[in-house]
Amino acid sequence: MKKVFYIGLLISSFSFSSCERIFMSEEPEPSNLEVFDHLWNTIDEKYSFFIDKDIDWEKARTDYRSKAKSARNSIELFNVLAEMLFVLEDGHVNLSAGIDLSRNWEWYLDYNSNFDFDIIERNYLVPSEDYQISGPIHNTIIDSVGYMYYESFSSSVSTSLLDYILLKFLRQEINSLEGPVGGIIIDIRNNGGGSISNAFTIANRFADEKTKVADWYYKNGPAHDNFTGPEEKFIEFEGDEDYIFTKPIVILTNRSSYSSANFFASMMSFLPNVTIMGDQTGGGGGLPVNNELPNGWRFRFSATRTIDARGHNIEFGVKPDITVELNPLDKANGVDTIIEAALTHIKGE
Amino acid sequence: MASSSLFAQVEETVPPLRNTHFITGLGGSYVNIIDQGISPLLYKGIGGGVVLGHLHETSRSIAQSTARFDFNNPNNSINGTDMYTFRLEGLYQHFFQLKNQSGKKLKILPGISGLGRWVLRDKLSYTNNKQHVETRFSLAPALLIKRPFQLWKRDFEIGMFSQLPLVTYATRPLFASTRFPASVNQDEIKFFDYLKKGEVVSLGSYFRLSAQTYLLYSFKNGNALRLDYFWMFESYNALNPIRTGEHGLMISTFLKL
Repeated sequence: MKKVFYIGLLISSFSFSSCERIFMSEEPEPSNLEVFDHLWNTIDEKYSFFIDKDIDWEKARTDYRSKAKSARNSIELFNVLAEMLFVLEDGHVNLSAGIDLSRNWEWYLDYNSNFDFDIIERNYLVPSEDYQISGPIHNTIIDSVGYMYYESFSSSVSTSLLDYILLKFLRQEINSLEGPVGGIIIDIRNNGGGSISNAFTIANRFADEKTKVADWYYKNGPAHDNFTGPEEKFIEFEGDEDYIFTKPIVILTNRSSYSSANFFASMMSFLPNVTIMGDQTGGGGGLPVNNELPNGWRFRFSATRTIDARGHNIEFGVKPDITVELNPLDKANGVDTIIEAALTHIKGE
Repeated sequence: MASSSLFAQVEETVPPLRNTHFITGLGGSYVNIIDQGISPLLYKGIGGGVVLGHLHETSRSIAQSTARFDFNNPNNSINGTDMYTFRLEGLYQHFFQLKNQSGKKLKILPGISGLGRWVLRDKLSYTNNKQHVETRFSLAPALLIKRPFQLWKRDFEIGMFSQLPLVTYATRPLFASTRFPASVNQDEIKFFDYLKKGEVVSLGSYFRLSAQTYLLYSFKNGNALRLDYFWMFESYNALNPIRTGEHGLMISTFLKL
C-alpha cells in the first residue's frame, strides 16, 4: 500500500510536469499560409492608420494570400509579404528576415533630398572656429546665428548638454562673438528618428510655459476604430533658467525628417518664436511596435495615432511655415540655400 | 456548540500542536511561454529563484505563506532571440486538519489559497513594446496530501500542494501597446497602474493548475530541510492570449521559531 502511494505520487507529479507542452507545442516549419495569416491578422487588429489612410486591407488579403500560398521558397514568400505591407504606405512598417529587410521608402525617395552634409561640413562647420561636436550635436556659430545639426534621435541628448550649447551661444567668453547669437537654427534634415524621449528633451529645453502639443491614441482592441481616449502631450521648460532662449529659432526639415524628427518638428511648431523651414517632413506619426511571425521573421508596424494640438494627423508630415528648396546652382557653389534662407529670416526678425 | 465539541475531541486524542517555521529557499526554474502580446513563438529557458516564507501548524490547521522571486532567460529555437522574465509571487495557503484523519498517516487536507503574481517580460530585441507586465490575484481551493515516514531511523515526509483558482483579477497592457489602461495621460507608469482597470475572470477564460511536490526531512531540534518540485500551467484567453508553463526545483530550510 505504501509503495502504491509513493509511486502514485511520483507518477502524478511528473506527469503533471510535462503536460503543459501538449498545449504549447512549437511548429518548426509553419506553412506559408500560417505565416501569411498571422501577419495579416496582426496588422488587421493592431495597425493604427487604416481609417486615416482609407486602406482596403481585405483587398490586400485577397490579392496576396494565394501568392503567398504558392511561394516556392522563403525569398518568394518574403517578397509577397513585403509587397502586401507596402499597401500601408508607412515607413514604420518593416519586415525583417535574415535574408532581407523590407521598408516603404516612398515617403522621401519621391522628393528632392534638399540636404547635403558634405556642403555643410566643408563650408559651414569646419571653417568656423566655434565648431564643436557636443555629444551627438554638431554645433557652431554662423554669421552670428547659432547652428545645431542633430543627425539621429537615436543618439541620447541631455538637458545639461543643451544647457552647455546654449551657454556657448549666449556667452561671449566662450564663443567668438562679442555678444549673444541673434537666433538658432536646429537642423533635423535627414534625421530619420529614434527615441521620442530625446525629442521631448530638446523641445522642453526651448519651451516656455506648459504647452499642449498633441493627443496620442493607443490601439486598444481589434476593430480598426478601437482606440483609447486621448493622452495629452505637453512640453514645458526644463533646464538652466538663467539661459532661457526666447530669440528666433528656425527648424530645418526635409522629407527624410521622419518619426521622432517629425514629432519634434510638430512640437516645436507650437512655440511662438519657432519657424519651420525647408520641405515637409516625411511623417511617421505612430509609435511603432514589434512582433514576430511563426517562422521567426520579425515585423514592425504603427500602433498609435498622433493628432497635433491644431487637429492635424502628423502621420502625413508637418508642413513648413516657409518652403525652401536646395538650389542646384547654390549646391554646386557649396551653398546650402536653406541655411542661407534661415540666416536671412533670423536676421530680419 | 458542535464545533467546540469537535475541537474537544481533537484535543483529547491528539497532543497539542503548535509549530512555526521561517522558510528560506533557493533553486532553479524552467519556463515555457507563449505570450501573443509579444510573439506567437514558444520561448523556453532556465533561471533561478529564491523563496521566503512562514509556516504555522496547529492541531486545527496549517497556514503557509511564501514570497517567491524568479528570474529566467528564455529564448525561442526558431530565430534564437531571447527575453528576460522577472516573476514575483506571493502565496497564502490555509489547510484544515480533519478530525477523522487524526490517526492516519496519509492525510488529505482541504484548504483555500490566495495568490498574487506580478510578471515582467523584457523582449530584448524590441523597442517601444519591449516590456510587458501582467498582474494576477486569484482565490483558489487548495489541497494538501502528505505522508510522514521513517527511513534509516530518520523522520521524513512526502507530500503535494495543489491549487486551482476559481476567481482571478487579471490585468494586461493595452492591446497593441505595453501601456496600461490606467496609465494613459500619465508621464510615467506608477506601480498601482499595474493593478487598476483589470478584469475578473474565471475558469472559462483563465485556467491555472499548480502542484508542488515535496520531500521534507525533519531534524530532532525541530528544524527541517525541504526539497520542492513546483509545476504550474496557466492559460489566459485575453485579447492577447497567454500560456505559460513553469517548473522549479527548490531546496528550503525550515527554521523553527
